[in-house]
Amino acid sequence: MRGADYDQNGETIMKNGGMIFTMDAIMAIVVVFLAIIAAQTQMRVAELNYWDSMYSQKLANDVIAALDEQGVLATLDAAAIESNITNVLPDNYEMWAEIESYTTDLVVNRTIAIGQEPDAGKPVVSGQRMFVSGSDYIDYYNIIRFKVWLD
Amino acid sequence: MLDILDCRRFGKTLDCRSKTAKGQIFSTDLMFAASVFLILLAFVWYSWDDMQYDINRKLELSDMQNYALSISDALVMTSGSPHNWTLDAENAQSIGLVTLPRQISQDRLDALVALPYDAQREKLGSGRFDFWLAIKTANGAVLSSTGSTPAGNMQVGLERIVVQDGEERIVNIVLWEDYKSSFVSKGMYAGSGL
Repeated sequence: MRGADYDQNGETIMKNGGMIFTMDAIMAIVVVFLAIIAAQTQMRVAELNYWDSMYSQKLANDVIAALDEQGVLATLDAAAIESNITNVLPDNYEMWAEIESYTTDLVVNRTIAIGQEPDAGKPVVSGQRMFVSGSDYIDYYNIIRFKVWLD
Repeated sequence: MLDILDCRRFGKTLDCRSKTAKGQIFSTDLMFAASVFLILLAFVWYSWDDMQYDINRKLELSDMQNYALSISDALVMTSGSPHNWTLDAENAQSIGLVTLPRQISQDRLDALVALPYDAQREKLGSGRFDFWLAIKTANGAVLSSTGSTPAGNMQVGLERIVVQDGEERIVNIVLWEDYKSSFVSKGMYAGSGL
């Protein structure tokens, strides 16, 4: 704090000095305060994204691999596949998939959609898996592309 | 009381003021400035403290999530080490429940369940966290479980989908601990049960 000064009339002007000092301190603290809030917000967002995407990816791969292992994917039956996905996927997750089926000559035979596509802008994790289908021999080469997201 | 006068000359006029009065004005101003400063400083201190606590808690949670993911991967994607660890489970280096990725083996599960809890923790590598593991059917019925029932205030649970004898199974892993932050500078956190 500065010492007392006098104006031409001998009046003290030290109040102004004090006020400037106070404003300066307030501004400095407000800046620090804002920086803390900004850091907290950023931390929250970063953490959520990491865990959600890692876990969603593992979950989606598990579901598709399990359906492949059980032979459910090879049926190419949209209703059966969707029912199985709904059965094992945790309630707070949604999944959409699309199967593109190719003949042995690699010509697209058909495309099967499973579930509802996510809303635009929704953060999703996506992946794909290849599998074959057929009764005694390989009749079709298939690619399933999928997206999974938090409801 | 005798006032000490501070006199200054302005032309022909001698202006005398009480030093005591000036001191009071100065003190009021200083007190006001200091009060505002201290109040704001208290806010910043509180926020900083809060953020430190938040950071510690999030780091702990993140650590727990990483452990949960890696344990789940080891269980459902690997057969363990050595491959035939079920023959001498006490000396297994790591535990895996599957023979092929995501195809769970009942023998391996039984061998894990038979181990004492501390040995299970060591082989699974759950670190300082307690764990609970359950094998469930697709509709949620628990077929088998082991570990310590989750009880702490910080828990991370995840589910992995596997196949056992052609049936879908859910491997449910929960890591937990009774979290006490090492950064406890505010009374509100001590004994708050967080």
